[in-house]
Amino acid sequence: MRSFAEMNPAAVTVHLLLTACITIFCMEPVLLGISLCAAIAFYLMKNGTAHRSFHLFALGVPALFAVLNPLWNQHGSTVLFVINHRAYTAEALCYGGVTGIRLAAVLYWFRIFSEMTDSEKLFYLFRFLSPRIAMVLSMAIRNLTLYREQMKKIQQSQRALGLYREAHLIDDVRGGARVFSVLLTWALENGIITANSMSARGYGTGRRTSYVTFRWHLRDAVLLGISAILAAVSIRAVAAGAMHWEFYPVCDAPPHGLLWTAGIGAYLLLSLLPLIYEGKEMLTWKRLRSHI
Amino acid sequence: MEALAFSHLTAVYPESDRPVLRDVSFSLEAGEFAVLCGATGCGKTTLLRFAKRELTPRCTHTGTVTFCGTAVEALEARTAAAQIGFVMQHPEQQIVTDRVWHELAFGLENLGVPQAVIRRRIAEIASYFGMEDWLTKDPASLSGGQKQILNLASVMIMQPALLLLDEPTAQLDPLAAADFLTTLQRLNRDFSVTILLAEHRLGAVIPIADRLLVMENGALTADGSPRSVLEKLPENAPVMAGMPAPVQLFRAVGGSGVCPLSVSDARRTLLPQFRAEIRTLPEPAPRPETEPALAFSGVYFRYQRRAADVLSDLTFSVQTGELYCLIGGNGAGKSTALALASGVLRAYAGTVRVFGKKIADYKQRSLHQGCVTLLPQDVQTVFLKNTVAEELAEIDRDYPAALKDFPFDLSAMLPMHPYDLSGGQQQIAALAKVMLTKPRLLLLDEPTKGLDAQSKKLLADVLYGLTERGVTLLVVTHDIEFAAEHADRCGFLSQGALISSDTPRRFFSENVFYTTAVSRMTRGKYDGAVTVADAVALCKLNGREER
Repeated sequence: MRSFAEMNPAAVTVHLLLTACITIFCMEPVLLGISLCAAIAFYLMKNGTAHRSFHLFALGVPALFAVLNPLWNQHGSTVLFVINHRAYTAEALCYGGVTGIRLAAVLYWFRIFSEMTDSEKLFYLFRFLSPRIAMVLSMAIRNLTLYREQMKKIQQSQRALGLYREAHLIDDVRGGARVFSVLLTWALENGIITANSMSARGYGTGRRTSYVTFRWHLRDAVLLGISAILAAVSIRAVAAGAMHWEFYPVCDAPPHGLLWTAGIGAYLLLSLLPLIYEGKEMLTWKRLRSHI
Repeated sequence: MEALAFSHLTAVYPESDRPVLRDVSFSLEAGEFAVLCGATGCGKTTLLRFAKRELTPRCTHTGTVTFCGTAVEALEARTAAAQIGFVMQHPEQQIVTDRVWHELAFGLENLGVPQAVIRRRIAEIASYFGMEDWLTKDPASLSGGQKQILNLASVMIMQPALLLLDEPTAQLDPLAAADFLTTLQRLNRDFSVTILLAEHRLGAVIPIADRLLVMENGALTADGSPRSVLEKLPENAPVMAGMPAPVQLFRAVGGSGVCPLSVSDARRTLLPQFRAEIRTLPEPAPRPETEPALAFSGVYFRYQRRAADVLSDLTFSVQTGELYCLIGGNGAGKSTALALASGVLRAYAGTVRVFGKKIADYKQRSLHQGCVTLLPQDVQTVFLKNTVAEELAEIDRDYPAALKDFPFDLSAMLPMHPYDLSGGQQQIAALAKVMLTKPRLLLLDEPTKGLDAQSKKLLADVLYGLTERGVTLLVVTHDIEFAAEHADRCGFLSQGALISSDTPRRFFSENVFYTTAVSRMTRGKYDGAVTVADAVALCKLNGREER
């Protein structure tokens, strides 16, 4: 087994998208709690205690949202206290809290996705949609860096030529505008040479193939299959209303039946999959190392 | 079998009245390595492009170009793309994608080659070119030489029978250029790829070529094996100045026997023809000491806090009115030193003084008002306007008067867009613009890049004119022959520190590896001969060995 990040990007993406989407379309506190805990646990496992500012943002903003929601939201029947002649209700606080957990969970899942996906993987994923878009994307990524560097170089040369005569804001803006206009020309000129180089290598002579660097293994299919089955069960439960929650006027949920249990169980497994893969990989390594 | 044949090709560009190619006829046998040389703007690029279907210039033309017996324009699209490879001058702009492996795959993808085959070819070519380590890199992070090797590899992966190269080494430093040419030679030998290479840096190319084609004003003036062409070529031919030093020496002293092409040839056959009673030329009078115009003392610099030092304890000074050449390998910190001298970057320790005043004490950008100007390596960054004339008028409205001593003919360039000029012409136009700022200290970063031999001589005239007027010049260059011929003093930078500094004659004769071809040729026989002129003078003083 390979670690989760090293699986085929398509399988990983499908898994993460399903996990995140179910979180987005569900308002069941237990499921959202599972989602958030699993996401944080996996994130910590991958990054350790780094990126503290992200944790602060991803947990702080939703917490703030939960506390502030009752100030605008007047629904709910259990009044906790009154500020400014407006009722601050327990139900609105509860609703804000659940929405906050949902927001935090989604933030973590997308952060995990973006950390695992570099331009190469993104390129591979886009190829499923359209090889042409993928090609444009790859060229755009390259050109953006090129333009940024050229801009810096032009500015430096012009400064050394005495283009910016005074240390004035207006002079700087005028100089900047000129640099920008010449950068456009440069980009076009650059584009012609690149286009020549493309046609010289047969671009546009007929059907293209796409060279793919990520191979498809059995383990990727297994991950994809398990994700699909687990997600299907959860989605079925959400769609059937087994995960439905009422917040107003009082917090209420339908009685937890078999479908609820199945849905929660399936989602628990689904969101823990990355942890399971990663954990198993870590154990394997430890074992291998102890043998060496 | 004939791989490529031009027959009576004459071509005229739409807006022009004189032909860019005149009655060009030649043919290359399969597996031949041919070099096409000639001054900038003589039509080399146009000629090469006529052999590549996708890049054929929009000229009216008569005559034909055939590839393996078929007219080039009649070739099937995919055959034309795969069978004829083309590598251009600028390493950066030919790269299409943002990964090395994808760049390699690009051509095969276009041809619709199945994935398994592409995978195999990439693995093969990466191992052949020794580029396994860079496969997952972004091409922007590669050096210029590596980029050009990548361009070559991504053309070679389509298994072309004919390879056309348009001054592929013009933007590279000599070491990277030599690597590139060695790779070409290997391709030619291992796969018998037919090669047509346009070049004006001939020193390294001529010894490995089978054929030499010389162009002048759109016409082929000579064609044959390098030796036979060199023996017939008139002394005043424009390409002569770009020939390898052994050839120049052979022609200048009228050596007998076959013309030597390499240093070892010359040591074996040419130099033994002369006596060695007088071993050295008289030392020229030393330059009178003047005030330093630029002084580095104990300068340290790094680009990032955690990165390594690029300059460490750099100490040197350039005297007023001197032409000082700073040489050294890639990454030695030469360009960084220039950026510090121009005030674009600041040292974190040590001081840089310009005309006795610390750089930091120049207020309100007064440093760049008629005092210090930098001509950067990438000269395209100097241009902001739509024509060269506007470009020059921006600095000085009365530029024709200010540039009346400028030896290059700018008239043809004035109405053109700077980006439409060739690499060498851009260099000249940028030099003109920089000179109009009337600096007292001019910093030049690789001013000989992309210039042919003739233009280099004119460049040297410009530099001499400046030093006569008391302008101080600090030139960073890889071109050691240029430094040996024209510098007042040379400094060798390595690992961010100045290792040695002396007059070119002493500097290059004391260096063993990093020195001119003439110095390597005459070593042990004569002392202190570093330029062709030195060697010619010594040979003539001593006279021939009597038999």
